[in-house]
Amino acid sequence: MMIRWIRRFEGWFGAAGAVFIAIGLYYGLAASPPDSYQGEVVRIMYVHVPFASTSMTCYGVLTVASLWYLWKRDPLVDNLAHASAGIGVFFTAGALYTGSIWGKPTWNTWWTWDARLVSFTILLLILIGYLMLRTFIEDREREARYAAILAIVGAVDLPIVHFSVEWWRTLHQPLSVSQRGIAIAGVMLYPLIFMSIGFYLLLTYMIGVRTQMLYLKQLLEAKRGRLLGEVHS
Amino acid sequence: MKGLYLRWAGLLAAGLGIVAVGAQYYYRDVRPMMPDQVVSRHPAGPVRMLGMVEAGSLVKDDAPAPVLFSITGNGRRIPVVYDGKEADNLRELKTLVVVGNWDEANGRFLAQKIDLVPNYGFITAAYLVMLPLALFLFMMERRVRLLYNEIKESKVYESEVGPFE
Repeated sequence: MMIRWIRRFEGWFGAAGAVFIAIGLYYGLAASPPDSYQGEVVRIMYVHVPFASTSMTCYGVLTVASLWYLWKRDPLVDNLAHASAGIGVFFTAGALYTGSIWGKPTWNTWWTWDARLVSFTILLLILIGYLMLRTFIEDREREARYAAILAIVGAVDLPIVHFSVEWWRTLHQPLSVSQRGIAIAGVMLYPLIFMSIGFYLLLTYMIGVRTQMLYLKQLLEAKRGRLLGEVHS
Repeated sequence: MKGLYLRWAGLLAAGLGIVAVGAQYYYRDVRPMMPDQVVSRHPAGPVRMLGMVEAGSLVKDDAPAPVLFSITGNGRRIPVVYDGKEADNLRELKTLVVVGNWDEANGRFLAQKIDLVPNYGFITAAYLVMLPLALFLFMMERRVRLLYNEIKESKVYESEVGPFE
């Protein structure tokens, strides 16, 4: 069963994530040189970029899980979708927060009405809306179905976020690591790679833990409800 | 439950260790001195001095001759002899950090390097986002443990009718 698989392997993801993030922090904060143009502030990149890419991946997981739920109606997959939305809010907010702090010294503004920033904030609002919708509906099956549909419709924002820096003239820079090649120096690429891998492992671990949490909560409620029903009948 | 707390205590200790090492490093090497502090403290080793290049003081001869200028800050003015590779950031009225040694005898600063003004506040603020992330993860892990315990104690895994017959 999937929940047993999560229980068995999640610890490895968490431990590996901690190791990668520790190495990434060392390279990012101590071993890599400051940028010749931005100075030391460039070190914010090593935490901002992993946050942003993991939050997009997190929404991807949510979309796939929602489609899977609508197809198979497996309650555990619904828990997975719910969990990734909860984690996604956290990572999306983290990306916006670190980006805002990076924006002040480099762009001289905390916030600007830029296509990337706006579409990313919409992603956060969709996730918050998703979580709110889940608290409004009483019936569990209906809650899962409506939430899945909302998540799939909201996935329209994903390509908009991704391509916003290419489609429109934005203040946010285009991708540094893409199919066009790598527009970033090696010494700055290593901490970024370590932090990114670490964050992806951490994301996997966190989704695993939260899925487990939601599953156990439902299990306990369901079993208790059945017990109570028998006592009262 | 005990394992969870121990693990997180270890993580917390590691985090505090990083903060302590970073703070020490920052106070020893990185934090720039103002010109008046350089004069009053007589630093012997290499120093980082923060200040503004005084207007009209910059004398750039043809390379490779040393560049002369004055740095002002906190009401003190210190002449600087810069003998390093050509710096793009060196302009009049620009605030920057010069790295080098304080020449007590001649009352001048011998700089080998010119840096941008560091913005450590922004970096610290950005990396502080790890703190709520860790707290969030800790609360989740704790919740999972509690739920497992609760399930075990309330014996809901046993045959449902069992305890109530």
